[in-house]
Amino acid sequence: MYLEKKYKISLLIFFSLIAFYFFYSSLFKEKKITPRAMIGNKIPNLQSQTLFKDEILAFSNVVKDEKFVVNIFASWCAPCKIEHPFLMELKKNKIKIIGINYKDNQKNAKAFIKKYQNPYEKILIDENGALSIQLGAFGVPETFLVDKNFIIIEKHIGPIDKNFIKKAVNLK
Amino acid sequence: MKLYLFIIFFLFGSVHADEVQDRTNLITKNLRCLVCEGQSVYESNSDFAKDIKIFVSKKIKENKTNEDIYNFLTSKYGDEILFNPDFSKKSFFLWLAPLFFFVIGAFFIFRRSNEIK
Repeated sequence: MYLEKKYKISLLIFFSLIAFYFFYSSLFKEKKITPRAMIGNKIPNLQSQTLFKDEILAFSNVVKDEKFVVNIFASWCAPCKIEHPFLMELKKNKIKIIGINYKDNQKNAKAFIKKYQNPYEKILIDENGALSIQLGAFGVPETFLVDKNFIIIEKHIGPIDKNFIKKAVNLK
Repeated sequence: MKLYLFIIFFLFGSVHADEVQDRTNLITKNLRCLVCEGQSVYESNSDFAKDIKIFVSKKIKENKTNEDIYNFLTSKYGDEILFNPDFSKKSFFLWLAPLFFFVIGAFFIFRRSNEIK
């Protein structure tokens, strides 16, 4: 009887410790949700007006039978400035980047590109965020690596880094 | 006559607008704001929430059903965007866990009360 009671108490303490560990560790976890629903799916062939020319283009008008990167950015977004050198590096590696200019003032967007150089093949304007929703995006910057069959291979939330460039370069 | 027609169109228009707004509110209350902490799209004023509100109201005006809108958004953002996800392979534990714990609890209480007797 005594042993059984002791056993029960140790079991209770054991489970309480496990529960404590889970609750305590979750206090320090980043609560950002990274939806991965779009990965492995075909990227929608979005079309919109371009930033520098008065023309309406779709993704398929810009890239043909090659891997490419779609980058959502805005001139008012500070992390976009941080990732800009990495985008330039992608361009140096001959990877085409389609920019989506998210809810921006066109004048500011053009000034941003002029100041930091243009890594983009074409920039499509997303005036009200509708294009970003089609991509399952929820902020800026967000970047998609797409293969030659228009399948999304990787989705990166926040400024891209060396790892992303490596993946893009190694993708066939 | 013109005045009557104007009033009828005005009333019909405002009723329709109310209906769109009501449905937008209903849907966005069940959508999680992915950039906020524990807020729904309905409650949030973030850019993401604003975009989704506009998108939902546009789809309602295009005569899409609530299910069409939920299906489209889950295809883009996954089940994470729903506050009340459907019963599926991924979420079955979430739905059945309370029942499971209730049955286990009831079993122990029942056994204990029998022991006391």
